[in-house]
Order: sequence, then structure tokens, then C-alpha cells
Amino acid sequence: MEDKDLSHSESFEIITKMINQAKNNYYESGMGALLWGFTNVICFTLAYFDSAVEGFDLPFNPFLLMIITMALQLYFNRKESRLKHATTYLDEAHKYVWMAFGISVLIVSIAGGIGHLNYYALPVLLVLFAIPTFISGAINKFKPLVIGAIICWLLSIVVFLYKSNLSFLLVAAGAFAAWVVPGFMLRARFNKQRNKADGV
Amino acid sequence: MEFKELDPILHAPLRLAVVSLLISVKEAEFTFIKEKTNSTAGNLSVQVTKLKDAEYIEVTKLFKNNYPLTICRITPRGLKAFEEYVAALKSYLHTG
Repeated sequence: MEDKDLSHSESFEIITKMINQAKNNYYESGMGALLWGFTNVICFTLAYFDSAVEGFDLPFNPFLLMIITMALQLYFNRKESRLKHATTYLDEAHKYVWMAFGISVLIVSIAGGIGHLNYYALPVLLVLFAIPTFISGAINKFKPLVIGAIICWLLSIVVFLYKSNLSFLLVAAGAFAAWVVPGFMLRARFNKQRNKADGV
Repeated sequence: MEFKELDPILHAPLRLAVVSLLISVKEAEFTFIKEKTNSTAGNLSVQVTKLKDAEYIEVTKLFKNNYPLTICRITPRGLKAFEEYVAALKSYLHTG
């Protein structure tokens, strides 16, 4: 960019161009969605077998797998931060929404487990799954996340009304719709963007 | 109608581009600004220093994976100056 005298319209052009450059800097690899989506699907499916299938007794609590996922998430965050060269206000908003979600899920899961209130906690979890998913999808105009969130809300109604062992499977289905499916789509979009940037 | 004077610190292509970019993000690395403004490291470094001296931007230097990293973010003073610059530009365009 040359150092020259600017006309008023050139100034406006620069301002508009730069604001658009920043807007097009949305970075979402889909890795978090896939990681947590698969973890939830596996955990809730194992919990279903553990509670509903005779002779299928897990020697450990399946939800402990989330500790491994947490470690993997930290690893990927660190790796991806090398590729990210700017933080937008939207990134910050996302971070806090998902942080609030994590704390809420932790409270519902632990309190529900301690109080043996699994059947009451499960529909609440589905409602919680939907909130940040819907916000992320709506803000980024990414329909699969919005659809996933709506599926979680609908499933939560079913789980609220019919308490059974199948509830675990319905929560797994909610996680699949909200994160696994959109996660693959985000990943494909991200790879396409990277290939385009690399000129492949 | 009285015309507002355009801030000479902002009324330069690269400095205006840097500030316009920084008002849209919370913070950005030097390499990001260089890529988006399509400028050379030397020229950008000079303009960033001028903006920093005017207290329009804040520059933090640190290390990331053993590599030096320069992070820039806009200050409240820079934001106010940018808003005034845009208001002044508008007044020129409306009467022009």
C-alpha cells in the first residue's frame, strides 16, 4: 500500500475493504464439534448399554472418557492457535458462550449423578446442548448447527415426557445431530478453504 | 458549514488500513495485518510505530513457540480518533 495523498472516497474505500477483510477471517476447523460430538455419542451409548443391557457392566464410568477429550481439546486448541493470527470479537463471544455451556453441563451432570437424578438431568442436558449450538449456528449463518440444535430441543421434549433407559440413546442422538454431522461439514469447508488458500 | 480537519495520523493509506482492520478485531498479529494490508514489513513497522506513538494502538511483543510475536490492538483513544475521522469524512462527502 503506497504512501500517497488520499481522496475522501479513497479513504472510505480503504475502511470498507479492511472491515470486510476482518469479517472474512472466520476460523472454524470443526475439530471441537467432532471431538465432543463423538465423545458424547460414545459416552451416552455406553451408559445406555450399562443401564439397559443385562450382563453388560462397565468396570468404569463411561463419562470419565471426557477427561481424555478435555486433554485432546487443549492439545488441538494449542495446535490451532498457531494457525490463527487474529482474534475477533465474535471469537470472544463464542468462547464465553461455550465456557458458560461447559460450566452448566458440568453442574447438571455432577449434581444429577450425585442425586441419582439421571432421568431428570438428561433432558436438561439436551436443552443445554441446543443453546450454544443454536447461537453458533445462527451467528455464523451455518444451518446444520441450527438444525442440530432444534433436533436437541425436540428430543429433550421426548426425554422429558418418557423417562426410560432409551433416554441415554436419545441424548447420544442429540449429540450426533448437533455436533458430529455439522462437525464433518465444518471440517470439509475448512479443508476446502485451506486448499484454496494454499492454491491446491 | 464548517469542515472538520482530517486527522493527519489517520489520513494516510496504510495507517488508515491498519486502524480500520484493528477496529474490527480484538487483537491481531503483525503478520495478519501485513497480509491483509498487502504491505511490506518495513513500511508497516514504521506506520505501526507512528500509530503507537500517537497512542492509537497498543503493541505487545512476546514469544510464541520460540518465535517473536507482535500483537496489535486498538486503544480507546484510537477508536475515538477513528470515529471522529469517519464523521469528518462524512461531512466532506455530504457537502461535496
